[in-house]
Amino acid sequence: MSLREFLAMGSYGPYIWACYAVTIAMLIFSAWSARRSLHEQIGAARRRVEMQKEERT
Amino acid sequence: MWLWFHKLSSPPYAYRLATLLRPWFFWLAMALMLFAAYGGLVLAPPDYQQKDAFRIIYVHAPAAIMSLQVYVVMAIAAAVGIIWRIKLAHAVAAACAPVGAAFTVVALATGSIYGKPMWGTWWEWDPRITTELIQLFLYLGYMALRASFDDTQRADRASAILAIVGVVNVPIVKYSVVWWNSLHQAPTISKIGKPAIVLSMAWPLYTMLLGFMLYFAAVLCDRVRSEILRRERNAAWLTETVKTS
Repeated sequence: MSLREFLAMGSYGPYIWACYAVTIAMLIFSAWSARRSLHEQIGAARRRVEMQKEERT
Repeated sequence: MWLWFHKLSSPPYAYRLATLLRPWFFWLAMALMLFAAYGGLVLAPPDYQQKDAFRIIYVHAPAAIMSLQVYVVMAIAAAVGIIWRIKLAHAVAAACAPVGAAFTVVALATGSIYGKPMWGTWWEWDPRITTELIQLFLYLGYMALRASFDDTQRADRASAILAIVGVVNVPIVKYSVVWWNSLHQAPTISKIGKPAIVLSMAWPLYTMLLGFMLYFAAVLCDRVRSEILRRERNAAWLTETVKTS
């Protein structure tokens, strides 16, 4: 099977590759947004801890 | 068992456990998904009716199954949070919603693209499609309800009720193709003991589902950690944790 045949998927290529692209995009977005919000929360927690330290001194 | 349950419900322990497990879940999920995609796109033979278009099923069906499974996890976590007043359970429930919504969007979008060559239409107000759309609205409604409260405890309680009540939609989506005349094809993999497809076509499907489950676990680890951090105001362990991570 040639690469061209594989990509064509018996004329269903556009539908199949669109589905896989949508899925990959959503998986990346979902994992990325979870990471981003985690880093935001770590940053916020760090600032809280430092503020409390300053208040004590 | 109860000791373990008690230990798990302590935020510092859960936070550390999530940090530890996340890379394992994530990289195992990546490997399984790649392997399943190779199996589904290259190794599996074309379907005798749907030809190559059936290869869409390898992302569509696992995403649709996850859209229901994540909801069940979310509803159980919400129920545990309400009944035993465990804050961490509410944190888990809150962490489930965005991932579940993402899987539901994938299921609907790939289903729509699948529908065009198979049924000749992008969208039909078919029982399966309509109930799955309601599933998406349940996730979005849950997240909107949470966002509308400033107080986390009140948000937890109110959204938990919605999550528990909304779980009725799960069997409705699942059996919609059996109960009503539907354009949608009958389930392929849930016939335990009597598989509807041959092994060479089936294994990439199960592998992709397992990959999606582990991916969900990995993202859940990150989301639970941010929920814990958001809720913990001035615990001593927090000082140690944010210094090192």
